[in-house]
Amino acid sequence: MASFLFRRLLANAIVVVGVAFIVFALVFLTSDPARALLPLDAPPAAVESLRLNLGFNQPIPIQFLGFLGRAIQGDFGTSTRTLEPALGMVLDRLPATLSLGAAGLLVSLLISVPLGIAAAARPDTWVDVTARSVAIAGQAVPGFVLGQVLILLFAVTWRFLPVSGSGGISYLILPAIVIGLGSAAGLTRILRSSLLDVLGSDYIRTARAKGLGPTRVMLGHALRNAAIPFVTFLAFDLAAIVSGVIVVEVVFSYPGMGLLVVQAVANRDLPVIQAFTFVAALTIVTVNLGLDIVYGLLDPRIRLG
Amino acid sequence: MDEASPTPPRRWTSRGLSTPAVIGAGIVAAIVLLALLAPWISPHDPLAQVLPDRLKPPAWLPGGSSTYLLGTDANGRDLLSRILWGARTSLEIGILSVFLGAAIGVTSGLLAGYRGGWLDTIIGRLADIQQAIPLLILALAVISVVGSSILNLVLVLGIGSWLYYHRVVRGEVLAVRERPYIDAARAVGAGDRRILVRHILPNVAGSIVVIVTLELPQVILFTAGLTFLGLGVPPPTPEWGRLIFDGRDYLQTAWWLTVEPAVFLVLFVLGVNLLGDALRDRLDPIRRHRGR
Repeated sequence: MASFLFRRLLANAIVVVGVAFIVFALVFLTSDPARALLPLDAPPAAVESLRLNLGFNQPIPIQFLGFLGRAIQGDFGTSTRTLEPALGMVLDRLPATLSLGAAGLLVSLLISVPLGIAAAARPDTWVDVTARSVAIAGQAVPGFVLGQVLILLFAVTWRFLPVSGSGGISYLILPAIVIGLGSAAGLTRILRSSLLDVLGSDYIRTARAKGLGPTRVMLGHALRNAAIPFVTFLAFDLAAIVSGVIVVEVVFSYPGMGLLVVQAVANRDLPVIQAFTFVAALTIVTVNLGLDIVYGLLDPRIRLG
Repeated sequence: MDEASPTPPRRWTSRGLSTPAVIGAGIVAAIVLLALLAPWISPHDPLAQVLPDRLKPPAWLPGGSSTYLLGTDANGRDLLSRILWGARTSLEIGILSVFLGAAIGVTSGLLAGYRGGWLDTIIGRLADIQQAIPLLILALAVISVVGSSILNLVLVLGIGSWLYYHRVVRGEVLAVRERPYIDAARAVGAGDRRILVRHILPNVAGSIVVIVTLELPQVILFTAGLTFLGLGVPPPTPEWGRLIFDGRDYLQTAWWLTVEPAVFLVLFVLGVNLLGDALRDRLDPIRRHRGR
């Protein structure tokens, strides 16, 4: 397990450097990097001194090393709008976004695991067809449309829940449902099909032959092996969940990283956009590493291989 | 899964084409046709503002008229015409970026899988990096710098969606390249290029089609999502996401502004998904064998 973890850590470190390069390269898509990193009303002398400070007149590899060095120290420059450190602004919002993402993931699992099991237990019956229809419908409705409809129904018309903002659990419910429904679709489908594949295997027949009931076979024997493709897919789905969180934060004016970056985009606040992109990617890499560990625990072949 | 039953139940299949697949194909064909015919069938100019006719409800509601079948928006523009022209924009962005993504991903997948070695390692690392940055966030960052236009959207969404084509094609090439018929082709003197294009590509074509059905709705939803975040197709060009977004402020008084374009968007995504599901079942030999 130790060498497996080490290999994964190394691979992820390379990914982080690569992400840093892309974030770094963003500046060069503008015509004048130094200009893009300062407020619009900055005096020409300030632009010139930043150009020298950040070494925009040096070769690109040297510039990248400088950028990487500052990034490691947590320095992504200051917001062109508020003049605060960009990374600090993003990290301040991280907890809110993480709790929303976690709540969304929880909703997604609460929907997809029972639906996937139910569909696989009775394939090609009305249970299966219903579960698959729910999954397909959930995938087809975009989060921002569903979010607006839910706001209209629950918060405006029936007044059960707050319209927007953040506070207690009640502020998380609607956004989490939107994120959860969006991601539950794919998870339900993958769990159903991997359960069906596992249920056809020899050791399940053995378990049945021993006289185990269907519940015991499903939860005790099949689910553990079907969980492997499920976790793999979850890792892929992470990007979709993160994207979903961004959009949903805007729909519900939820004060997380997504709302911050959308404001930064409107203000052309490049340092904040860069810091956000980096933090978002780092979050994904970290969660992926966690899933790798889960994966190793689930499947001894990976841990020992 | 159960060898004892001689014929497994096939409630969703009749003569090979499942009901959902037919529905999906029908929806997709209808919307594509409407988009293609938009210049001839839309009743009004999608950009023409008739201010006295602002926020007219659709024809079947009180106050609606047959002049504006689906109602008008806050600037007095005909919603039906805007939805039809919006379909053109959304499909154009979707199809072009899917082509671009497929072209890059299939090429890299073929090369990485066939050659292996350092080329495979380098492309694999690039894929890992790409996977850490969700496409929506990449698009957000890039578009916020380069500015939003249809071309920029196609470029960033297209280049950013190479990943799945690459992963799947590479995997399939690895599985196919050691087959005897590849050796046979090589033995009769076929070069690498010929083997890749004539012998390997046809074998992975099915998977590519399936990924296209997964990516096309994704890209269209991303475009709409980017519009929602303020970075999509710039106004006044009609695009489904733009129409839905524009209706946001009128959700309580003029719900049709949001709901009608959303229905078209959802139907299209649903149609492509249904079609993709059927194709996937059909192209997956294990599942086809089991009749599921």
